[in-house]
Amino acid sequence: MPLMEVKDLCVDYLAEDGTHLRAVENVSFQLEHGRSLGLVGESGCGKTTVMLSLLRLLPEAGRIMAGQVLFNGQDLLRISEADMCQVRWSQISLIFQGAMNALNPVRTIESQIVEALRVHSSTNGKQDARQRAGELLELVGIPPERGRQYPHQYSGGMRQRAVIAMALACNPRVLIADEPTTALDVMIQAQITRLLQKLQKELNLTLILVTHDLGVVAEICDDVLVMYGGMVAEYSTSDKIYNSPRHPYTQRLLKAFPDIDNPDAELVWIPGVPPRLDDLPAGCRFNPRCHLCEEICTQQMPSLTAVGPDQLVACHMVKRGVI
Amino acid sequence: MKLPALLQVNQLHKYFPLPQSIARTLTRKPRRLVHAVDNVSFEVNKGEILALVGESGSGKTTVGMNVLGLQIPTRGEILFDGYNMNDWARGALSASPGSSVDLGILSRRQQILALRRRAQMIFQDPYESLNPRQKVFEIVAEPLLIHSLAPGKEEKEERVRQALESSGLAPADHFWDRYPDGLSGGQRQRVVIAGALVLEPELIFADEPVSMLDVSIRAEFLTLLLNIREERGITILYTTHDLATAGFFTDRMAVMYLGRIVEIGPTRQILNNPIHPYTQALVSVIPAPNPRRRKPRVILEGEVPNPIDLPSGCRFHPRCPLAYKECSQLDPPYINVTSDHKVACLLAKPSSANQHE
Repeated sequence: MPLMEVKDLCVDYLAEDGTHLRAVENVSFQLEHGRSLGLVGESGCGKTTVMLSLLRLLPEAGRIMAGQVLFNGQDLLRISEADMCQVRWSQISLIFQGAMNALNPVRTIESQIVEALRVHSSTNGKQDARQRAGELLELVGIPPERGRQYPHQYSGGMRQRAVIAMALACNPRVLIADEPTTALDVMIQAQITRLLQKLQKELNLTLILVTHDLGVVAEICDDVLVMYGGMVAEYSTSDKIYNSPRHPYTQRLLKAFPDIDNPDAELVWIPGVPPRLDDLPAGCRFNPRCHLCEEICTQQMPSLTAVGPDQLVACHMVKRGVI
Repeated sequence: MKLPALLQVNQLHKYFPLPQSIARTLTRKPRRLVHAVDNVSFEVNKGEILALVGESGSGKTTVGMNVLGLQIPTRGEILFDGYNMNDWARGALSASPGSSVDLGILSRRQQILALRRRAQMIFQDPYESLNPRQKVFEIVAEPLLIHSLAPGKEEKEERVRQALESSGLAPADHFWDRYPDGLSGGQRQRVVIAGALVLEPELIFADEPVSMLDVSIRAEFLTLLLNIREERGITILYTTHDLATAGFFTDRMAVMYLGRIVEIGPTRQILNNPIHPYTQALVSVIPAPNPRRRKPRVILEGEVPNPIDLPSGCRFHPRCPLAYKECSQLDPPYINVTSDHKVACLLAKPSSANQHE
C-alpha cells in the first residue's frame, strides 16, 4: 500500500463576490514509502495549492471540494482538526517557500526549534528539547553551539538548513518542501540539494518537492508530476519525463531549460502565460499556448491516459499518435 | 580590424567604510573597510555581451554600479568611449580626450545626463522596480521627460511605441494604459527593458535580469536581449550566478570571487575548459536536466567569506579543494592560458597543457 495517495483532489478559491474559482482539478498521485516526487510547473499552475491541501493549510478563501488524501490508509480530509494537528509536523512536515526569511528575528535558532518540539512532540523537559535541537542542527550541518545565535547572524544557506532542521524536529515520515533552493546562490543550491538527498537516505524520508527548477528535480526525484492550469499534464518516473516526455508542455518546459552540455541546442520557450483562474480556456487548458493545437483541443478536455507503463499523459495529440 | 573597446576598466577598487564604533574612533583604530571590488580590470568591445559571474558578495553588482557612474570608484579608472567615467559621473569633464564630441563644454548637470542617456540599467526584480501608480506609458516615457527628449506628443508616443515593441510588448497601445499590477513577471521585466531602450543607450547593465522569472520564459528573455544587441548594436554587461544562462548568450565571461576576477575568457572556452578551481566547481554544479546524467559535483563547503577581513594569499584558498601551502602566502598573478583566456591561480600553467586536463 502506498504511504500517501491523493485521489481526484479538487480545490476552489472563493472570489470576493462568492464565485468559485477552480484552482486544482482532479489531481491524483501516489507515493511509496521512501520515494521522492517532484511537483513541477510554472508559477500559477496549482502546485502550492495542492501541497497546502495535503495538510489542510489552505488560506481562508480556499476550499477542498472533492477528493481524498490517504495517508497510511486514513483520509486526512475527513479527520478532525485535533487529529490533523497530530499529523502535521510529526507525520508530515512542510518547508514553506521563503521560510528561511520568516524565522523569528528576536529569538535564537535553538529556541525556535525547541518551541516546535514542545508543541508537536512528547519531548517534555526543556533540557531534552535543547539536546534534540543540537542533534538536529548537527544533522543538517550546523555546529550545535551556533544554535544560540539569532537568524541575522546566519547566512542564507544556513537559515535554509535551520528551517530544514526545524521541519525534521518530530521525525516526520513525509517531508514536503516548497521551492527549497529558489533564491539561493548556485553553490548553496548544490549544498542544499545534497543535504536533502542525504537526509532522505539516512532518515528514510518520503519527499515531495514543489519547484519550477527542473535541474533540482532531475537530481533528487524518482517520480515527476507536471501540472498545468491546475491539472495533471503528465505523470511518470523522472527517467521517462526527462528522456521521453510526451506532453507538449513537458517537452517545451524541458527545452526551455538551458543544458550546458549541449550549448548549440535551440533554446525554446513557451509563449504566453498560464491561464488565470477566472478565465480558463475551454478544452485542454494548454491549448492557447500549444504549437500542436487542433480543433478538438479547444473543445474537449483531454483525459489522463496511460501511454506506457508508469506514464500518464493528458493530451489529445498523444492519443492520436501525433506525438 | 579590432575596434577600440567601448568600455575599459583599469584596476578598479571600490571599498565601503564600515560604521565605526565610538570606542574604535576614540582609540584611533583604522577604519574597517568592505573590499567590495579589489583591483578589477577588463574591457568590453562595442556590441559585445560580457557576463560577470559569481556568488553573492563577489562584487559583480558593484562593478556594474561603478561602470554606470552610480558609484565613484575608490581607486582606478573606468573609460567609457574614451571619457573617464569618474569625472563624467561627477559632471567634471574638462576638455575633449580625443572623442569626436567635446562634452567638456556642457554644464555639470548636462554632462551627467549625457552619460545616463548612453548607459542604462535593467534591475533584477521587476516587481519592485516599477512604480505601481504609474501606467506603462508613463514609466517608459519618464526618461524622455528627464532628458528633455521628444517634447512633442506624437514624437513621444512614437518613441515609447518603438521601445515597447522592441521589448516584445506589441501592439504597444494594448499595454501602455495598463498598470504594472495587471502584468505578469515577464511583461513587467519587458517594461523595465523598454524604459532603458527608450533612450537608445549604447551600454546596458543587466543585473540578474532573469533570476526572478520562471524557467519557461527565461529563454525568451535572453533571446530578446540578443535581438536587441543584433538590431541596435548595444553592448551588454550581464551579471548572474547562473552559468547555464550565461553560457547561452554571452560572448565572454569574467568569473568573480571576493572582489577579484579569477578567470576571464570566451564563454564557451571557459565552460568547456575551466582552469580555476572555483570556476571548475561552479561549472560542475550546473544542474543537468536529466537524471541519467547525474555527474560528480565539486560542492564547495561554506560560503563566500565576508569581504572585511580577506584571506591572505589567494582569496579562494580556504575553500579551494586543491590548495597547497603557497596558496595562503602568494597572491596569484594572471596567467594567459590562451591569448584571450586569463586565470589567476598558482596551479595554472601558461601553456596548452591545460587543454587536456
